Order: sequence, then structure tokens, then C-alpha cells
Amino acid sequence: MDGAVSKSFWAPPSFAERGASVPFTTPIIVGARVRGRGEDLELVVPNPSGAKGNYILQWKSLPDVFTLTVHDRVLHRAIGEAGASTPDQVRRATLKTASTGLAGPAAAKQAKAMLKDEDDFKLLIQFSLLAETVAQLSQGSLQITLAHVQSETGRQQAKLILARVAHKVKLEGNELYALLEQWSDLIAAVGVPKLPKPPRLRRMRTRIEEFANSIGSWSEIDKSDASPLGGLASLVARETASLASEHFTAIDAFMGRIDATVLGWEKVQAELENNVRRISWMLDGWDMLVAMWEDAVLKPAFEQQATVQELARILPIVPEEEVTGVRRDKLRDIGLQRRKLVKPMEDWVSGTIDADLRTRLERYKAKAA
Amino acid sequence: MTDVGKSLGDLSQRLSQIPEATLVELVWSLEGKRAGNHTDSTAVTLLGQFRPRLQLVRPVRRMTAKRLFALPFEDMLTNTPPNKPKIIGKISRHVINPAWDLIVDKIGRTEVEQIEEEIRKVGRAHTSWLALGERLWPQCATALREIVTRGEKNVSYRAEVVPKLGGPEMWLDLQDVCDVLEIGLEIQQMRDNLPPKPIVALTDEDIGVIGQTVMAVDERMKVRAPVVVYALVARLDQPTEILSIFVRVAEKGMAGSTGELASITTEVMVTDMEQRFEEVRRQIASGANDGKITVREDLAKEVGHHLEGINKGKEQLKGTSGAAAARRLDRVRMKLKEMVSANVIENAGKEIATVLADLKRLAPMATGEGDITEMQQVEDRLLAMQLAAKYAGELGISQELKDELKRVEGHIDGHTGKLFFDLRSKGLKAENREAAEADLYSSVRMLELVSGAERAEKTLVEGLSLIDEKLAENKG
Repeated sequence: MDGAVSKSFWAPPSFAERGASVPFTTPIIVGARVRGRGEDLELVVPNPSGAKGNYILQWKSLPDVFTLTVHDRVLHRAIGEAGASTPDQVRRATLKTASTGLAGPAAAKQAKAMLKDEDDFKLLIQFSLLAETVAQLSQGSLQITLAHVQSETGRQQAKLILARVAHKVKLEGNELYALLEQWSDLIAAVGVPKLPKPPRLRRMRTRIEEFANSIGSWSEIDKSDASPLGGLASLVARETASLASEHFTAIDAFMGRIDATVLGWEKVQAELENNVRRISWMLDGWDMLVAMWEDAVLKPAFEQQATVQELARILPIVPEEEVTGVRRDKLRDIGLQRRKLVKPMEDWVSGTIDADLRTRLERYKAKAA
Repeated sequence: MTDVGKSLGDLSQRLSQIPEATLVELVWSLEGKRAGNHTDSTAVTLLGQFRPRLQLVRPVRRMTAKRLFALPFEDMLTNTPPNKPKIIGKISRHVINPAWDLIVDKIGRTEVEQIEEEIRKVGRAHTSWLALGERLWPQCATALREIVTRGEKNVSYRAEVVPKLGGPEMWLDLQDVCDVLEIGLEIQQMRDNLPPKPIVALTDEDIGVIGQTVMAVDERMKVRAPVVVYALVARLDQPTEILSIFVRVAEKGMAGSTGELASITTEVMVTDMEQRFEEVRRQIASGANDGKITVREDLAKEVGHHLEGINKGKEQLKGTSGAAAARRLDRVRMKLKEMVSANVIENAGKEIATVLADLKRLAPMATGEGDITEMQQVEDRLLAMQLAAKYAGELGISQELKDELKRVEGHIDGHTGKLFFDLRSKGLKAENREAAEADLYSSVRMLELVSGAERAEKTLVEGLSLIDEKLAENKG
């Protein structure tokens, strides 16, 4: 191990410092995060003893330090080769690796479905933006249908329709079409309100809210040592979802005033990028936690209690730079409370790969959205 | 898996994702619907689907006279079909409706309607049904005792009742229902005052509650003392815990007749344990898993959990008057051993050999294409073996497991050896790359689950470089 840093795991100062979550299947490095350090990558591993601080490793030294599953060896190479250090970059490497089947057939199926989903969502979002733009700029006199984005002929027709209203935002039809394409690409993971099925980050926020409710009510019933940790997890989830909601609202607002959005595109583009990036960082790592809990919900009490201990240890606390005032104090307080309550995860710390724990991690991976 | 099985699996998954607050409201409303029209099949089916979550969430259910009648023996209920042998300490859910019909005939519809009316007056947040139970349970017990006594004396009367119940085994369940209801008040008082099922740990106060129940039953109807054992074991997370509970009860000076119940207690522990595994064994034996793909893994885990319970129980019993009881735990351990041998270890090698022979068809499933159930079942077997390896020594099946794992490993090695031989001798065309990689990844995955990551990665690296090499040769 290269050394340990204090505090950042319990109260991370920034997203970059916290790192992007890597869904490894080797139990001892569960909850590990990758972050960029100049030209290199580093791995931040929560202290397996549950004590203060993280272990920091050079990315390339990971296989020398821990016995990894084959899936993790392949994922480690994929992330290293791509120099991936943001949630989106890590996600691409993760899906590619999982689709080999090395984390089991269910994770492979899920990875393939997620890759396909992304294309479908881009199309749906593009259609929503086109339809809304035409409706707003023509004041309801013109219409775009889904067929207009599903084929080249349809797209040509859409451009012609757009051309009839584009002058209102001082653009040609083609230019407006290209701008809307850029817009939909930018918000592909976030989407727009009222889609029949929300894209992954919007869906994730809802799942986090449900997680907060479910684990919150569990902690009121459960009488074990894990109960206060359940309450804490609920609190963190609620705060995270609420913070993310502010960014969703900001993104959605642009669709409500399309003329202003298009006219100020340069600035809007930067704002959209910023909001999407922050949502992506904010919700990063939660898919695994939510999947852990969803998996535990139907299990016996002793398994639920163990799950709560595990997930509390890797709970992604929102970095301090994202919040101010009372909220910052509240999150800092949550971080401290967690430090006091989390028990050392002895089960996860053996040098060998525990079949049961590994299977559980693979199952969570298959349930992640 | 059939389409119906898959749909049911999908539906169960979706239902499990319904937020708790919504679930509580949904159950309340569905039960209202069912109460109004008992044949409402949508309500009945959906409530059936919710059952696993209801055990966890435990929303307030709509009370009915029939549900009140079954309340004292609720924990003891199983889904055992009416034609299966009677299980000691358990009552088949199938006996509820016919038993209730017999009771209604005896006590009269007017009385039942009056009780229903009383129930309706009680609010949703009501927590104890003792007062109304005190009115209903003795009436039910008297009615059933009359039927049972008459049936024991009069064969033709029994022959008339048995078909109504669903079979001779249900006659035995009817007797158990009657036994529980005769001390229904004491049992329900105990249930009300203990933590919800499954009980993981009991406080001193809880032990006091159990002691009081034992004493009360001894005083009023000592012959029904075994019912306390049945009711308690059914509520415990670990059936073996019952032994240390009775020791703690005795230490409080409230042992009552528990000392006389040694053989019943052992029998109930063993059958309760068997019962907990019955569903898994049924699924394994029939091959029908209803979309569940972790049948063997769950069994292996559950065995591990119960072994922990046995060890904990033995530890607690050390040096106490329960030393003899500790020896009885070994009988439970033997049952666990048989279960792991038969369902996890036996025939694993043969099964894997069959799968490997068909890997051309199955490999795409391993990488998530199409219906992946068959591949998940293979993994289930391999994972269960790994889990069993943790406690194989304790059960005395280390060698058996090692030998079987060796056989499995031999089959996988044979398969990858052939894959590499074919690649070397026949080369590889670009259009066959995906299939070759899928085969390699599936074999590597299986190898990892059996022999560990080091060996599996070596095979992966060797295979991938061979694929690249042969593709390059083909290009050249």
C-alpha cells in the first residue's frame, strides 16, 4: 500500500478527490474509487477495517496488492488503458467488461441491455426536444412525430419542418437540428421530464428516494446495532437525491423556454454540461448501494443487518464543495456519525476471494441500472 | 424456463420494487376488495405474489373472523400440499378453509357475523386481538374437539369429514389446530409479547414471557405443553435456539414441563429444519425453479447459517443442565450433512460435463444473450459447492467435496484443452471470433468458480492471445 489519507472518505472535499466508483467484484476492494493524478490513475480503497481514512494505491499496482477476480483483472486493464477517471468513462469500461460474462450471465445481460438503452434514449430525447421546439416556436401550429427521428427520410422531413420555425431563433433549419442533437447528446443520461421510461440517472434518483424510504422504515423496525446505520443511510440518500433534484430542475427548465435556450446556447451548453456532470458524480456509486438493499429486502433479518453494515461503510457522502451552510454541517455530522457506527468488515478482509461475497457483488452489478 | 415462469419471475421482481408505503396501502385495498368478493382472482393472485414481502414488511392486514381463528397458529403454517405426510409442529395452510367451514357449521353464522361486526368496529391501527380471540377461540376449540372426538370413535363419520378437509393428513392437521386453539389465549399472549418472526435474539424479558406461558399452560392444560414448543420453534430464526431458551427459562425457575419435552423438542427441531429446506429440495428434485436461479446456493447458505446456530447453541449449553440437549443438536447436524451431500455435491461432475458438451449453444447465454437461466443454474451449482467448502470439514464431507470439485475441474480443463487444440490445428476465421471468445469466457468463468482466479486468468490470457494469433495468421 502506498499510504493512507485521512478524512476524505468520511467527508470528501470534492468529487475529483472522492474519485469515480468502480464496481469491482473482489470483496476486499468493494467501494473502491479511481481518480486521476496528473497522467496517472490512483485507486482509493475505503479502509477495510472500518477505521478512519482510505488506502491510496497506484492504479497499476492493484493486481500486485490484492488477489482479484478475473473480471476485476480485465476491468482494471480496461480502465487503465482508457485512462478512465470520471463516472462516465468508468461506466463504459465497466459495461464492456461485464458483457464478457466474467461477472456472470445476469451482469452480462444487464450490461448489454444498458448499452442498447442508451441508443434508444438518445432517440427518444431527441424526439422530445424536436417536438417541443417545433411546438413552442410554431405556437402549436406545427407538429413532429416519432417517425421523424427513426429514419433518414423522417429526419429530412423534420429538418424541413424545423426550417419553418428556425428563423425565430435566428438559425437555419439544419443548424437548429444540429443544436438539438447536441442538446440531446448532452442530456442523454438525464433525459427530459415525462419520458415513458426515464433514462438511467433520472431513474437512479427515483431509486435513491425509494431506497431512502425503504431503509428508513426498516431502521425504525429493526432493533439490532445496524438500525442507526440504516437511518443514516436513509438520511444521506435523501440529501443526495434532493441535491441532485436541484440540478435536474435546472436542466429541465431549459426545455420550458426553448427560444431563450437556443439564443444563448453557448452559455446554456456549459450550464447543461455542468449540471449533468454534477448529477453524474452525485449519483455515482449509488446503483450498487440501492441494488444491495433491493437484494436484501426479501432476505432474513440477519442478512439485512449485515447488508446495512456493508453499505453504510461505502455510503457516498456528497463532497463539501457541493454544499454550503447548514447542509454542509449536516453532511459533515453524518460523516462523523457513520465513522462511529460502522463496524470493521472482517468478512470482507480475508486475502482470498470469498465466493459468497463475490456472488453478492456480481448480483448487485446485475441489478444496477 | 417457460414463458409463464419467466413472466411470474418478472412480475415478482417488479412487485418487490414497489415502495413500502405503497405496498401497505395496496395490500389494505386489495384485502378490502377480496373481502367484498372472495372470488376476485386479481386480488387473490396479487396478494399471493406479495406474500414474501408481506412477511418482511408486515403491513396491517384486514382482520376477518377466519383470520382471527387462525391467528394463534399463524407462525406454524406451511404450504405443504394436503396429500403430503403430516409434519410435526406444522400446520398446512390448506386446512384453514375446510376447518373454518366446519366451525361455522357448528357455532353458527350469526355468531360469526357478530364477530365480523365487532372486528369492523375496531380500527386499522389495532394491535391486539386477545379480547375478541377470547370469545372466538374457545368456541372453535370446542367445535373442533367435538368433531375430532367423534371422528376418532366413529370411522364412518371420519370418512365423511376427511374428504372435506382434503385428505387423511389434513385430519391430523385439524387435530393440531384444535390443540392450539385450546390454549389459543396463552399462545397468542406469548406471540403478542415476543419480537416478530423470525426471532434472532431474546431478551431476559422475552424469556420471562415464555416462562409465564409454559407455567400458564401447565396449570390449565398440561397435555398441551408441546404446542408451546411448536409455536416457539416456528417463530425462531434458528430452531436449535429452543434448547438454550429452555435452559434460560429453567434458570428463571419457570421450567414447568419443558424438561419432559426432550424428545418432542428434538423432533420438532429436526422437522422444522427439514421443513425449511423442503421447498429447495422440491425445486431441485423437480427441476422447476419458478424462475429462481439460486436454489442450491441458498441451500448451501442456509445450511451454513444453521450450523452457526448449532455451534452457538452448543456454546450456550456448555456446562449447563442442557448438556444432553447439546448432544441432540448432532442429530440436526447429520440432517444438514445429508442435505448438502445430496443436493450440492452429488452428480456435480456429471452435470458440468453435460453442460460443457453443449457449450456451443450455451456460451452466448453466459455472455448475456437470450435466456440465461440454464447458465445461471450451472453457476448456482458451482457457487453452492464453493459455499459448502467453508463448512465441509465440520460436516465431515471434505473429501467428498474435494473429489467432486476435482472431477468438475477435470471436465473444464478437458474442454479448454480441446478448444485450444482446435484453434491451433484448424485456425480461426474473423467471423468466428465472437463465438470462440464467448466459449473461452464461459469456460474461464466456470474454471474461476472452481479453481480460483489465478488459474482462470492464465487460461484467459493464453486463450485470448491464441485467438489473436490465429486471426492474424488468417489475415496474413
